Amino acid sequence: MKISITILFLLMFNAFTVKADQTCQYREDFLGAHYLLTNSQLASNQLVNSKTDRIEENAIKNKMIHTSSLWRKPNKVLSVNGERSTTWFKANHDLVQKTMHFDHFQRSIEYQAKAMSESHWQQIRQLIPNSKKQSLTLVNTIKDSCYQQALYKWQDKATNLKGKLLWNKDLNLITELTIVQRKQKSHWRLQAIEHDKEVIELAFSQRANYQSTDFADIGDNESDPFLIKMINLGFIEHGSSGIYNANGESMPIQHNH
Amino acid sequence: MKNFNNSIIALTILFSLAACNDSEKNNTITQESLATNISNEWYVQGAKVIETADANWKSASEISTLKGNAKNVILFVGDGMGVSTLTAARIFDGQRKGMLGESNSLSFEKFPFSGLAKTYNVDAQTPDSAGTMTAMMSGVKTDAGVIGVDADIQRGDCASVAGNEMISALELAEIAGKSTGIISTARITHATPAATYAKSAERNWEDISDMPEAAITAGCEDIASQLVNFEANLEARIAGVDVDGIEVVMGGGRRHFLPKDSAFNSIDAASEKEGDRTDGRDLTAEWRANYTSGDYIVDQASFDAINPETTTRLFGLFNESHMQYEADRANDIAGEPSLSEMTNKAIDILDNNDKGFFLTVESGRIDHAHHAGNAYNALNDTIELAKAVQTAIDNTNPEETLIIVTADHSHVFTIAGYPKRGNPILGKVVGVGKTEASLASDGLPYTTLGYTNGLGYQNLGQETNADAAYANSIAAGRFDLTGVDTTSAGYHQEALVPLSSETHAGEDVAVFASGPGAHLVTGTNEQSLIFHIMNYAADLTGSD
Repeated sequence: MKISITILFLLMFNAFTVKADQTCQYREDFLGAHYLLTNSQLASNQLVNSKTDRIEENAIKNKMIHTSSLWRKPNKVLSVNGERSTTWFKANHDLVQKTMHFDHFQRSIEYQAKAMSESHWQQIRQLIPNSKKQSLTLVNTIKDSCYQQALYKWQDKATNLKGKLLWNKDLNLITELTIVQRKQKSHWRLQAIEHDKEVIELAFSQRANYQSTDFADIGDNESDPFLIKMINLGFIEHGSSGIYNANGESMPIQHNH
Repeated sequence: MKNFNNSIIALTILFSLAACNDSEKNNTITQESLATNISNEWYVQGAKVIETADANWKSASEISTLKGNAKNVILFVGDGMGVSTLTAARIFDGQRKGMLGESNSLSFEKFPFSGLAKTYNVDAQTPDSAGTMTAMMSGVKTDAGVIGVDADIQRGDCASVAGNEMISALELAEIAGKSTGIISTARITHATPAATYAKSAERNWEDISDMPEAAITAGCEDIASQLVNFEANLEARIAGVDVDGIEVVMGGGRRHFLPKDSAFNSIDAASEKEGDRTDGRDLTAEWRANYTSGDYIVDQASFDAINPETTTRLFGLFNESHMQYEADRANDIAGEPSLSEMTNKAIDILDNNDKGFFLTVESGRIDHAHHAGNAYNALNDTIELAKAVQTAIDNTNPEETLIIVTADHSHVFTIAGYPKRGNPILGKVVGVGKTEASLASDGLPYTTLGYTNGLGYQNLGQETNADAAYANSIAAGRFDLTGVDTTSAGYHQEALVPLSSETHAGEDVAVFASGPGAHLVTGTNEQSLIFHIMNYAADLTGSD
């Protein structure tokens, strides 16, 4: 079992280094990380195999794939998931303001700033907070010419939840993540890292220029076609922070007792 | 509805041409200056109600002796404060005092006169704040979503504004030489306060970044800019008058007055760039340049330092957007005053004028709490409004001050079931003679308070910001409340129809009045009558 994990780790690590070792100039607080998300339903024969700690990579059905990206600047995070995106800004007063963007409409909805724990901020900024990561089982750590990559795994038989995480310790970034719970499997893979300053600034600034509305004002704007659509359909953007699957549904990493 | 009088229009044009020479400024309001208002059928009907004593118990001759007796006028508006909100707030306030609650009275419920107002807009059965406050401030009902203009306008069409602007009661008070003030816990550019000073085809044109390019090119001015340029704009619009501008402005909405540049952030900033303006203008600096003896403030400490006896002009913008809910005020970054504190300070500044004053006070966040489906904050802010009214009662002479308290519209907020006397108004229904919560046919308990539509159930514990619910999914319908403390600040009531935001309601709202002219508030009338009552009591138009 240990051998299979090590082989898998090396495969994952190599896959990442091919794409990501072009430079050692990445800054943890100034980057854009592009992910490929795959959501799938395991076939019945995999359910039998799922009793082991080996996660099948093949023979899956109902596969859904989409892309997602995570952008960071000091005190600012942008999460992009399809045509919806969310900016989080941490002010000097430890208040965090959330602004949800609807790229198709070039409109934004602002939420009132609120106090946020450091762990919650890490979840937004890293997708996995340090406290959660520390509760996982560290399998191995390898350092290439630039970065340290740590492989974690976990399993909770009570909830049929298991997964593995390849973590870039220097950039505090998910390199690869797989979560399996019963029939559902979600897989994140880092495709590329953006470090061009202009590209990163543009990702934030183009959304900052959208026409913005306070959520508190939505009820008073019954004639605005965009807002009335949102009033009727709902605004909630699942997966605006943390780990979610390709359907935008929240995915637990561990069972919380 | 509008019944143009061609002769009045012709006179207006002639008057405007003749008034190009402004050497004679006697601040006399002519009928021609009021042409847009008085040629409107809404205005004609409202004025007639007053003149003929149609809606009150006094004779027309008796009423005529009261004209102009109100040196001061204070209009309190609870945004979204429908009758069910008043009842629930009255009970909540009483229960906080240790009473059963139902027999309690809010400060303004003790006023000698009250009536009902029909709130509909010209184009809407259920209204919005822009149309309703315009009706109250100009005596003319108009469309939903437009500010200070009549219903001949096309919402969002800048070109349709010209010629349809109306004079507001606040502007008339300015022209009459009174001191004027505007207070709101919402953004000061929000629809209700904006209707006192601005003319706009769209309530959302709060700053230039909110406006379409066509409207900017066509020469329409954003609402924040209109506030800062109020004095110059009024003098330009009404030829021959010389006014000194609004003395007291306090509320939220700094974002609409500052450039979109973090260099202009205040100590109270929560956003990366507090300002929204894309034209680079710093309207707070422009205001300070216009009024060099005035005070511009953004926080509680600066507010506390204001001496009302020596302060002649005050501009307070205490939040980037809306001010906090009263229950959430302690969480403000730099601190901000309560509605009653602002009311007290404003009156102390405005009453330094021997000619009297005109003040509008809006509790803007009752509406927002209801939209978020959170009765606690709606009721708590209503109680704070009652406290502000009591402050006004305590600090003015009732023989010379007309105080009106009303709402612009209602909400789909209900008081239901058969709870026993003294049952906690935020609690679950416990029937007469019972100690356990009543159960519905689904076997589950239910609360006295609820909403017909909206986000629905949320149990956010001690959360004092009603808007926190917007981070969660819609949860309309029934939930098991057995173990839920529905009296906590963060509880959001169940709703029937799922919507991301609870809506306004279309029933009448209550109007309460005390002081000179208060007796004119009686019966069920059009909401636009409120202007005519204020106008008559203070003789703002100086008509014969």
